Amino acid sequence: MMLNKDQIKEIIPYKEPFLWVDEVESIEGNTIIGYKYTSIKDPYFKGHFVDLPIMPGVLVVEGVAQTGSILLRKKIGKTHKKKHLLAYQVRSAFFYKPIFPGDKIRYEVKLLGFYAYKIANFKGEVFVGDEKKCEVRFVVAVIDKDEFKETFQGGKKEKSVPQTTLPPLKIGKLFAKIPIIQGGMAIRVSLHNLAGNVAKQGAVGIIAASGMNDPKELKSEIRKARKIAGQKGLIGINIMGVATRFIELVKAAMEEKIDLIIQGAGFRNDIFDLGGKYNVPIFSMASSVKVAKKGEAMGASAIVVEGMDAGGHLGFPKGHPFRKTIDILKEVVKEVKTPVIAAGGIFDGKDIVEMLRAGAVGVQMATRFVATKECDAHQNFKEVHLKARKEDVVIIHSPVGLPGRAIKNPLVEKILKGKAPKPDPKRCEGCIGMICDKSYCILDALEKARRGDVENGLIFAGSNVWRVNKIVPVKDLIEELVTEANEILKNKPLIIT
Amino acid sequence: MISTKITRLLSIKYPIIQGGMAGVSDSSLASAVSNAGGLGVIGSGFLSSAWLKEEIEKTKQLTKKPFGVNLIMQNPMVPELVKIVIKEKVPVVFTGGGNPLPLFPHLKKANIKIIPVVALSRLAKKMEESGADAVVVEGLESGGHIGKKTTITLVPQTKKMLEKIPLIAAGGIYDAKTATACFILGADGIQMGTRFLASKECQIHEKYKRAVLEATDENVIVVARFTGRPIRMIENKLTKKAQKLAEKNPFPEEIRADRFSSSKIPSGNIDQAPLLCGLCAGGISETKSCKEIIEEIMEGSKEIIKEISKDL
Repeated sequence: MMLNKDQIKEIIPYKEPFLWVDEVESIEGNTIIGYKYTSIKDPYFKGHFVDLPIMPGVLVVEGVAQTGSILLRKKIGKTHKKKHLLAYQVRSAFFYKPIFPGDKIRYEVKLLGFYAYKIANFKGEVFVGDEKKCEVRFVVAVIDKDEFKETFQGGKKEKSVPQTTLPPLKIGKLFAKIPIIQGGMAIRVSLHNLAGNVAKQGAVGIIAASGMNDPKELKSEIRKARKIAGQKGLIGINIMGVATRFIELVKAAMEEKIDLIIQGAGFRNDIFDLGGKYNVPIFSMASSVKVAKKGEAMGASAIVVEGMDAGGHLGFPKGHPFRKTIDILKEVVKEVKTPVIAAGGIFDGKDIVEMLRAGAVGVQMATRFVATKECDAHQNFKEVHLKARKEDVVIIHSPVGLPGRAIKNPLVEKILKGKAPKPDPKRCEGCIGMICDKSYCILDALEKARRGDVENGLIFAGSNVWRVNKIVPVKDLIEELVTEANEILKNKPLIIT
Repeated sequence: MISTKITRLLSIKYPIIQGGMAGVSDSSLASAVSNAGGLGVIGSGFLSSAWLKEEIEKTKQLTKKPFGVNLIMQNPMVPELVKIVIKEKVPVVFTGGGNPLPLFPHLKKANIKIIPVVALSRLAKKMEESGADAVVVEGLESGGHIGKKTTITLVPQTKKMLEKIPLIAAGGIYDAKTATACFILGADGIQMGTRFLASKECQIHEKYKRAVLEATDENVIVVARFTGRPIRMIENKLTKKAQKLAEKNPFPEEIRADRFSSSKIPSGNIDQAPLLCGLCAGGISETKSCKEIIEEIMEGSKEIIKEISKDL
């Protein structure tokens, strides 16, 4: 015997008189075998049926499901105590032969599929001796206890109180005093120093994992950022779905207990599976209602809506016209229940308030954080931001197949003319695999820029970069933004519905 | 010599394409079709990259005419297969079973023509907009994995939507009459699988071939609907098993897709093998050489058109 009744009760939240598994014989791979002993003394035989005591079919189904839930909780691992496992569907149930009092019921339950740590498909067979008595197919829903409380028990619903100061960012268990996420800037523009200092001020710091190839580098950046940020600071990473070493990087971050992951450029099922396993919220990037809904359906904890004024890669591939953040945001908040973060072109406190009024719970800003003392890019890179004029900000084609916004320099001139140097096949790391059209090496171009070669490097920036005119400490920048927002909110409070 | 948009695009004599059949359409069949003036297509299915490479090389030895390779997009090995197709300079690639768009830039750069097989007019239009060179619309009459629309509705409706690229009709076509019907509906070319399955040059087991010849419209059935990817094949013990399972409202995970992907069935154990086959099998009663099949269609269609115009 592998588990006795007491051990079973420690795993699944059942007890007599509603425990229908007495022992577990084995768990091997995706199959669990368990037993239930019946006796004529069991009270239900008195009523099922009068004069014909046989085991009620529904209780056999319950027994199969309970046995399956032992297996599923083992699969989920440590975090299973934070989850409710609920019946979602009995797909089919066949009762071939009756089970009589005194029979020893054998359950053989197989987990056929477990998706996004949310939905588990099971098939169960029931035997007495060698005789097959019953066959059940059923689906179990896995839900976070907190989420259950909020959704079904009216948990945390707060009344709408007019806000006269900038409200904090609250998403699930995440809490940040200031509803600003510093956008992840690849390659290596936002690393531990920027992210750590942003988090220290009560906003959310994001380390850009895109372009990294070594999970060790990412781990070290996260550790260093945490050191700066302190206990309460929220540190996340940002990563493109098309990254070749995607899973290794995501895993590395999760092992470092990252607070959140923002994922864009290519949907991935696996990240939601891992997010469920490590209990890390995943934020999905979206530039349309369609993509936002997909992110929500896949299990995103928040949607980051990014409009056309953002810097770097823009989520508007060929055939998808550029749209402003505010316009997409208004549509998205109507269509999804998941919290929405606004991104792209947000420059000052006025912009932040505008986004919150439109229904965002927070904003993501990147370009402004380049012009900070703590930003991890080279001084030359920051200087280009200060010097940029409105007419210097252009849209280029990126080899990842998306448009990108950058500041004009000799390299950009070449890209625009289609004369950028082709990637050196010997040095190609295959960072994004087959997606890359190899018109030039964006990894190399971005890395050069952030190291200070602003002639041959590529400098991504948002459309408002020309308004940036000084380099300040992160603390001052955040204070300035909060003060501006609070000024406005004092006169016209924010109503959160 | 017949000239349509598709013969000009592919530099072939007749607008007839042999549909890619996983593992079944190998170098023997593909080269026979190409040599007969149509376009032979190697079906890569879920086979290895080594297999594909060998078949491409053999095909090149057996014919100097153009030929194609069909790729199934669910195959996780597709990136490997694409590399081989590019390296071997295969003139045209057909795609099925999933989204082919990520392949487009790579094939374009290598100057390989792309012809996706789709089962909806909307997707055909999307393929045109994304740069496909032609498109195959396949009705549910076809064998193997099938869509939900019929050839007679897909062809004219898609034709109306396409602006420039040629349209190839597939699903249920096997002789001069069915081919002519598709040309009248607006197709620039036709694709046939089952007809070539029962050709002399096809390397499947004789028993499988006989089953195709003996099949009627009644015993060519659809199984595995519950998986969301229904498959059409000839009724046998395997399909009965699948039907029995279907009665239990099973999960899609309960069927092993690889057991239902096509094969040449070298053992001849046709009871337990998936005899993938289109509905047109009911109209096919003898094996013929690929040359006979193609020429009969081309000759026959001229006659049919003459006959019809007399009556009308």
